[in-house]
Amino acid sequence: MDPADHPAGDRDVAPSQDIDVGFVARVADLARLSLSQEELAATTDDLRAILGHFEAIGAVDTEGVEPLAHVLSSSGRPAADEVAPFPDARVRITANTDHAREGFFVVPRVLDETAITSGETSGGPAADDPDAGGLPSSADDPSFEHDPGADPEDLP
Amino acid sequence: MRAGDLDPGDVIEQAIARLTARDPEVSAYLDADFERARLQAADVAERLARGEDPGPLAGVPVSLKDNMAVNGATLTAGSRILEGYRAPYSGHVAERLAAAGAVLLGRTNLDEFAMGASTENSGYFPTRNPWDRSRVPGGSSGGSAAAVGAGIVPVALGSETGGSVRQPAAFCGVTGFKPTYGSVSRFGLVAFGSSLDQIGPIAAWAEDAALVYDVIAGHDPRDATSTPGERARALDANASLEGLKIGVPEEFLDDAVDKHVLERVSQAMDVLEGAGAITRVIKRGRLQHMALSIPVYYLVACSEASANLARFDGMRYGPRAEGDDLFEAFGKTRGQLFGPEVRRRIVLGTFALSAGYSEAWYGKALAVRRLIHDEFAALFDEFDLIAGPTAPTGAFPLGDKSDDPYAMYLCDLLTAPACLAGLPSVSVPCGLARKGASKGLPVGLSLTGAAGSDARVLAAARAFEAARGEPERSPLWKEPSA
Repeated sequence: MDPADHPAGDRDVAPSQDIDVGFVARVADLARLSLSQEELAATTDDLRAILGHFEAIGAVDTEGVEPLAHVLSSSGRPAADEVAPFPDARVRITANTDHAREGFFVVPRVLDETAITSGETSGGPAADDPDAGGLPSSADDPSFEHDPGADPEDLP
Repeated sequence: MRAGDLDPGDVIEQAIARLTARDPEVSAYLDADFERARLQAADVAERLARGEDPGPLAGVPVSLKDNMAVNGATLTAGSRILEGYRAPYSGHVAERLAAAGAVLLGRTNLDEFAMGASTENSGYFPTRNPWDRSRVPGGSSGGSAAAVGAGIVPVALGSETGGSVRQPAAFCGVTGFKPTYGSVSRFGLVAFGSSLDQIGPIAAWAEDAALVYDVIAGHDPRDATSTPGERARALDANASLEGLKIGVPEEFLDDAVDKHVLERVSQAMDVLEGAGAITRVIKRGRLQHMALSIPVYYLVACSEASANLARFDGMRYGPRAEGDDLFEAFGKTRGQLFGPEVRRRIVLGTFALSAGYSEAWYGKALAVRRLIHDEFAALFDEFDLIAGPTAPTGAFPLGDKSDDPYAMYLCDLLTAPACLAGLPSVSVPCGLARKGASKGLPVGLSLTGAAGSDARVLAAARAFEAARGEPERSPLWKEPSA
């Protein structure tokens, strides 16, 4: 995370009483949670109260104590790099959304047309219709097949 | 059924009849596909007729908490963000149960993403306690505990992160077991706090909990935290308390614990002693950091949850809120479809992990977690088991704590330590509170063992049950069905 984007810079501790609505709004934004003003206010009150109780851990002397992130003595071996059979994967995986076409997920646009022609990425404005304009859609191309090599040429 | 005395078809019909008659009273189930269960039962019956052995759970109806994947079945995790989702594969426990001949019946209710201690945080409806329908069943596995407590099924699976199997089991008057971290694969379990989550059985009898544990425990390469090697079989362990050293730390007998709960636990200690165990009260101070289990647990669990729940963005499954761009769609989907407690925990976890704060909060919590872990480990040099009450009170009224998140968090006071330390722990019913706010409600005795001693913990629970006699059953349990 870019510290400049961070709600509170480089402070070591955040006393619970310092937490205000603006601070919580920035944390919620980091978590990609759109909250109403009322919800932000309530979350701020809750967080302040909860962290007020939690501040007690600050008084414990943990000098030289190794943090315990999990209790296992070894952190697990990597799984064997083998492809497990999963028949009809596209059909089964995309069955759980109304926003799928031809075995792909349809999502709101991430790139605008300027970015595509100039080769830059941008989080800028996108059209209302996620399928209109911009990136070529495989759904529009009758010759498209699920060949991973078939579409990158169309991307910046 | 394996002896031919019972027909799996009859057994599942009786379970369906009980579910149909009693679930409207407790709302334990989010969904139940009777036809699927009937087909499974018919398959078991056919295999029996062919002279095959379908396995140790042949024809036994088992209900799964709705955060465990069963191929083709709903999987909401109690959240609106997964409304309509159907799992495209079966998780480890569902596979193991089916391979042992069990018939999966219904999807049980839970606090959304297993975050809660009352099942009131379900995105659908609250579940009610089979002992008193004005009270909560506990949580987050409240649907599973209520289903067993109401006598609908003999066994159900729950999942536990900070007490979510044992506390609802205690509130509903049944047995609940949380295995050693790594004993049971989490493959196919909707992740909440990955360093804490374990799946465990909730059963009407301790012996059934042991039987189901033996079926679901074991190494699974699909879960990197599943420990390799064989598990000691719980049903093979000697169910005797003779000579077992059981310590009761004074930290578990805190003022926060209802004295009528303590009275029952004290009587349970007499039962253990009478059956040959050596019981000792452990003077205050050996678990000096246990009181900090609540902040440590919530900081760790919420931090892990904030990362685990990042995948729910409406793009690949579930409903989606429309937005002008991707981030707006993410934010609206998550803001609108996660419930208040889930949002609160995501914010808390995101805060605890964020640059500038993570050392002071998440890092500090991990260091104190080490101290709690080591203090428990040291006790097992002297004792075989640690005993105490499972929960500070009996089941509380619906709505009692819903406006005060911290009051709800305190429900985990006595269960969170074993989760932080990864220890196996069982709650067994030890009678009803005689007086006070919990009058007439079940009390759970907690028995916790050293890491890896799952079989011993379950054997002690069986021995306790044998010494004490069958637990009291809820009024719903006793009702004739259909």
